[in-house]
Formats: sequence, structure tokens, C-alpha cells
Amino acid sequence: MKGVIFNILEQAVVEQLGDGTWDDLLDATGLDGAYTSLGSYPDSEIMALVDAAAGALDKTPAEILRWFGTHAIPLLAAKYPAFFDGQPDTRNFLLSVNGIIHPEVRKLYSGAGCPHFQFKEQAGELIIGYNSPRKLCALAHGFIDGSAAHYGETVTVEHRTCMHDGADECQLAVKWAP
Amino acid sequence: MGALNPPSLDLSQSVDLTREFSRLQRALRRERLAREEAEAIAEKGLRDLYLAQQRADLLHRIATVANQSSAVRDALNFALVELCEFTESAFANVYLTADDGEAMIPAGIWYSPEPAALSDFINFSLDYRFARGEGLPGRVLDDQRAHWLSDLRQAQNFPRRILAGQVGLNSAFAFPLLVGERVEAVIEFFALPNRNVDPVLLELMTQVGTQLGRVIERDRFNAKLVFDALHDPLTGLPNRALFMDRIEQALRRRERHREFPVTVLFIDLDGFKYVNDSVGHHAGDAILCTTAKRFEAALNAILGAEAETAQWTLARLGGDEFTVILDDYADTALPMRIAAALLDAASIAHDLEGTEVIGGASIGVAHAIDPGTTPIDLLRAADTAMYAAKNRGRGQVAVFDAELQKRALSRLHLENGLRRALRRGEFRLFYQPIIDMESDQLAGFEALLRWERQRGEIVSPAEFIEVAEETGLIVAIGEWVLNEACLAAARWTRRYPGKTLTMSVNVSPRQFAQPGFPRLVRAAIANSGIDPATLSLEVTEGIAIAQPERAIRVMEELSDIGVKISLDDFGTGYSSLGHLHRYPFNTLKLDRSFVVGMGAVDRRKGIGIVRAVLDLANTMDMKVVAEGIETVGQRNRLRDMGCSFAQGYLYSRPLDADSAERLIAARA
Repeated sequence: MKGVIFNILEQAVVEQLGDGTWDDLLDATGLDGAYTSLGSYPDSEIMALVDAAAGALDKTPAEILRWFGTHAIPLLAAKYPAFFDGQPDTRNFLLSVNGIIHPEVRKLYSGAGCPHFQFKEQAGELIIGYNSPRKLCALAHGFIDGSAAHYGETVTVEHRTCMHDGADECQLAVKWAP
Repeated sequence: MGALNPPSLDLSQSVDLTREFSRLQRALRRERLAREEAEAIAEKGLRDLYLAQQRADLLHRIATVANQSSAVRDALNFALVELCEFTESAFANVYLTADDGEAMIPAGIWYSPEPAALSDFINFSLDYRFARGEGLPGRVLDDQRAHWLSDLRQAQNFPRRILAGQVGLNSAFAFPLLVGERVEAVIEFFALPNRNVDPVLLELMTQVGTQLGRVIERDRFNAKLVFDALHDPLTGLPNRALFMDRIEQALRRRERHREFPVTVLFIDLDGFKYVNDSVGHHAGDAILCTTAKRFEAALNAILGAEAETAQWTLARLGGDEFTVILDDYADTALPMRIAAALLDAASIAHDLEGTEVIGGASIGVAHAIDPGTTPIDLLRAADTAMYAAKNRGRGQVAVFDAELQKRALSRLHLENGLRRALRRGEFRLFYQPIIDMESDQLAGFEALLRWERQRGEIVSPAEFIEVAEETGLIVAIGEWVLNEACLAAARWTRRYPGKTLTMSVNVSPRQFAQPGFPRLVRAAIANSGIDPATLSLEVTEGIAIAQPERAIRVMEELSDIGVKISLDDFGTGYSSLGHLHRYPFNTLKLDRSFVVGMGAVDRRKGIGIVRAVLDLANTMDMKVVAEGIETVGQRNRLRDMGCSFAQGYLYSRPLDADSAERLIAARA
């Protein structure tokens, strides 16, 4: 996992839950917490932090990831405004992930393991297929929520199938409020 | 004590701690900001590095293809796919410069990763011709630089605006392929999103344009090489190779359609050689160029307006020889009409910086008649007819006919006979004695060639030497003569050692011109073992005149070997007295005509000329051999005037080897 995700997570935790919380999470997990956006760190560390937060807040890890995704978007928009300014709405923003955002990520971090989403537009909804072995579908869900909030839209995200339930891939159906 | 005081102590400590805490917080914030800034700088560096690497890779790929590809189309096709992917474009298209730089036309070279959705736009673009300054390609052509349109909906001077809007194309850029300063082609790229102008990308595209421009340049160069190989550099007309190919193709068409006429005209400029020799090569070249243009205009005037479908090619085979092939014409009088028009064109005088040079030509015409006619047959026939025309006088046309064919055949027969003679050893040498006029003693011999075609039938050189010279057989014959004469001289020296005799051998222009001629002479001397000083090579004036510098060089090389060089037929050609001293001649042969002239009607002049030649030779330390002495009077007069040597019937006819040897024996 790229260091920038740890940085964003730290920022979200500090802003939403207070200064000491991040240190508490580091203490609880025994991690030293020195993350730079340029580095790569084991996936297990982000999962340990998510689990610790879930434990402390009495939530499921999925809820924590979705919460993180939602709150990460405004932080990412502040850090990388071009990705958001270049797209007029949530739908186009989501569609630009494979073709614009992830190629840009690879320009910065060679060898970054970016997931590839399968998009399918059908009657009134956008189906997003996700099958990364990291199984961070809840994070994706949070990102979608956060994006909609960024563009001032209201969407519902339905988790049609999930790898956590044994499916080959997750399917997130995004619907826009009329 | 301690229990009472702590509050004040605690307070001061707490104030310190608060200050300390906020200082640490500030320090932490500074550190965080510093880290984030460092990360941002590093990220920008990484991104720039990545992009630079991508650009370098792209340029490298393009350059590799540009260097390897010989075909412009292949290189452009490859580049389009690469560039489309690199720039994430939806459609890329190539235009070529046309109408002398006044328009851009689609090259039919294009690429789109998903063409179906853009088909209306693509089809229009592949069929539209842009004037200079019009639309995106026209503007690139006009100011020779890249252009970027970030919003096609707002674009001015963009004829495809509505179409672009319909298929969702929103931005575009285009750049030129330059060869030197000239725009040879333009490549345009279209993308779905709006994209702001990217100076780095444009700079990259400019470099790509330079690379691809090189392919075009090389392609031009290759085309030029092919053109040069098939055209005469002086006049730009097709050369012999291309002309022969045109005859070949016409004859092939004739194989399928018997009635299909094929005619070759062979044109030789009258007196051109004289102009070239006297006025100079530059003047000659100017005449050839003007003539080529006049011929072309004459052919265009007749055949351009012709309702029929006559095909023609005008070529320059070399020198002052022009040729025309005509085929697929209906009017049987056409070749003669064209010949007449070409004669007219050739007869216009040339103005060479004020000097008027009269033109003129002789033309031979040959029609393909026999089914098996080859290109060389047809050309040779036209050439033969041309010679016939020339023999009739200037400005004539001759058609190759049965009579000419008969003559050409006998010539061919003679050529074959000469080859056979060489193979079978039918050549003989006769030896005409050369006499020392003072002592009347035998001084040496001139070796003379004869051809014993059948037992007892002797053919004189006059009948075959022209054909031998033209066909180049003279080189082989001359070599045989040289060796045979040296061997005879060596044999006689061995048998009659007391008597030192010279051996004169005639050298033909063609033989003299062959590379390594001195080496052959050296070999003949070594092979026979004769003293080089006894061998005298007789050359004609023509040899010296054709290429004076080379002639002098070769003669000096021969002098170094030790052989003597003799100027044959002095005074009968163009000999320039002024230049005679530059050549290392040892002997002048005084032509028979001068000897005869001494006894003619105007004998005073005849004698004066001979005396002048003898004086000249004396001044230049040359011996003179008078030829054709037939009377005692001629002998006495020449002896009185101080002529050293003589040959002629008065002394002896040419003798065969045995008789020559008997003569030596008798005098020994």
C-alpha cells in the first residue's frame, strides 16, 4: 500500500477523531507510523490500523473503510485538484479512474498495484466491478460516497455481490437520485 | 514546605510545559509541512522523470522506425499508432503537400483505436482537400509550425467543427513534417476531451516531425537514385537502360497484338563532334540540352494534339545520339512525319554566346517487322539506317529496309569472319622493308596485317579494319600483331646477329586506348626477348587528339620502356604543329600523298611542303620515314632533301616472313 494512503488515513483520523487518536491507533497496533507518501508499506499495516480503529469505535472494519473512503475524498481533492476539476460530475469522475487517475498514479510510483474497475452502464445505474485480491470494496464504496458529496450529488451504492461473501468479484451498483 | 509551595512551583512549571508543548507542536507542524513539501517536490520530480522517459522512449521508437524503414507509408503508419496511444488521441490523420505547396491532400494514412464511433468525421477527413491557410492542416502548411485547438466547439477556421461536435471530438493538434524548410506533410490528432495546449508535447511532436521528415527526405533521395539510374544527367531524358526497357515493353505488347506497330528512330546530330572538339565541351553540352528540349517540343506538338493513342519516349543514348520509340499508333505515316519534324527542330541554328552554330541531324528509322525482333535488333537496325542517312549527306532520313538489311548482314558476316579468323589463326603478317636512304641498306620492316580468308585469298585491312575497330576486335587482333612481329624480329636477330633491324608495328586508336596497353607492350618484348629500342610503335594523329593528356602519359610510359614512337600519317588530319613538341615522337612518317605531291602539276608547292616537314622533323630531332616511294626520282629528291628513311615499291613490296628472311640473309 502506498504511503500516501497512510497519510490520508492519518489526516482523516486526526481531523475527525482528534489529535491523540492516531497515536492511540499506532500504540494499539505497535506500528511506528513513519509513513511518507513516496514509500510503500505492507498492506497488513493498514489492515491492522483499520482493525484497531474498528475495535476502538465498536465498528466493523468494512464500516471503518467506508468511513475512511468518504472522508479521504475531500483530502485527495485538496491534494490532487486536477483529477476532480477535470471531470464535470461523479459519473465522469468514476469513469476516469482507470484511464486517467491510475495512469497518473503509476507516473509517480512505478509499480503501484492499482486495481482495474469494470464499468457497465445500464438502465439508470452504473455497475462497477472490482476484483482486487486486497478486497477493499468497502473503501471503494466510501470513495463513491465521498465523490458524490464532492460534486453535490446524491447517490445510493448497492453492494450486489461481494468477494467477502465468496463471489469472484464485487459489484457495486451506483444509482443517482432523480 | 514543599507541600505549601508546589502550586506556585506547579504553575510556573505548567506555564513552561504549555510553552514547551506549543513549541513542540509548532516544530511538529513545521516538520510535517517540510515533509509534505519534500514529498511534493519528489513527486513532481518522479512525474517529470517518468514523462521524460516516456517521451524519450517514444522518440527512440519513432527514430528507430524512421531509420530502418525505407517506405514512408510504413514509417508513418507505425508512428500514427504510437503517437495516438501516447497522446491518447481518438483519431490521427496524415496530409501530404500538393499543388506546389498550395494545398494539403489526405494521404490515406490514418489511425483510430475505435474508428466506428468517428466514422463520419474520419470519412470526411479522408476526402477533404485543404487549401493553404484553410483549417488545421492548411494553417500548419501556411506557417510551418504546430497548432493546438483546445476547444473545437469554439474553433474558428475549422471546417469540420459541426462534424467534430457530432462525434464528440473536442480538441486537436497538428504538426508539420519538414524537409529543410518545406512542409512535406502534416499529421493531425483529435481527442475526445478538451485539452489545454501542452508546450512539452508540442515540442516532442516537433522532434517527431523532424524524424519523420528524414524518412520522406530519404525516400525522395532513393527515388532520385532510381531516376538518376534511368536518366541522362545532362538533359534529364531517359537513358539507354530505360529506353531499352521501353522497347522491350512495346515489343512484348506487340507479341500479344500482331498489328501493334513499334518503331524506333535513331537521331545523330550532324557535325556535333566537330563542335565539341573545336568550340568545347560546354558548348557541346549546351547544344545537346537545347536539342533535347526542341525534340521534346516537336514530339509534343505532333503527338500531344494527335487524336490517336500513340505512345512515345525520347531518350539520349549518349554523345549526340538521341532515340525515339513510337508505338500503338494508327497512322502509318506518323514515323516519317515525326522524323521530318525532328529534322526541322535539329536544323535550327544554335546561338552560343554570339557564335551561331548551324544544326542538323541524320535520322534512321526502323520498324519492328519480324515476330522475334529483340530490342537490340531494332535499335541496331535504326542505327544502321542512320548511318545510311548520314552517307547520303546531311539532314537525311533513311528507313531500315531490305537493302540496308543486306548490308548490315554482310557486316555482321564480316564481324563473325574476323572472330573466326582470330580463333583459327587466319591472320598473317607481311613485312615491308624500310631502307636507310644514305647507305641504301635495309634498316628494318613495317609489319602489315593481312587476312588469309581462304587458302590463297588475301583480304586487305581496308576491307575489315573499320569493322574490327567498331566491334573492338581490333584490340585482340592488334595484340596478336604486336606479339607476332616481336617474335619474327627476335627470330631474325638470333639467326643474323650482326644486323640490327627495327620493327615497326601499327597501333589502332582502340588498342591504344585500352587500359594497360604499355603492359602488353612490355609483355611482348619480354616474351620475345628483343631489344626494346628496335621496336617502333606507329600511332595516328587521332590518338593524340582525342585525349591529349592521356596520350602523352601513355607515350611517355612507352618511351620509358625504351620503345620508339612514330607518328603515322602526319599532316593528313588535324595535327597542330604547335602541340607536336609535347609528344615524345621519335619518327615522323611522311605520307604517300606528299611523296606523290612532289611530282604533281604544282610540284613547287609539293616539294615545299615536304621540305617544311623535313625541316620541322630536323628541328625536333625526329627522323623521317617517307612512304610510298615508287620512282628513282622521288628517291633522289628525298635523299637530297635529307630524308633518312624510305619505304615503297621502288625498294620492295611487303614480303611474307620467308621472303623477308631471305632478304635479310642476302644483305647480311
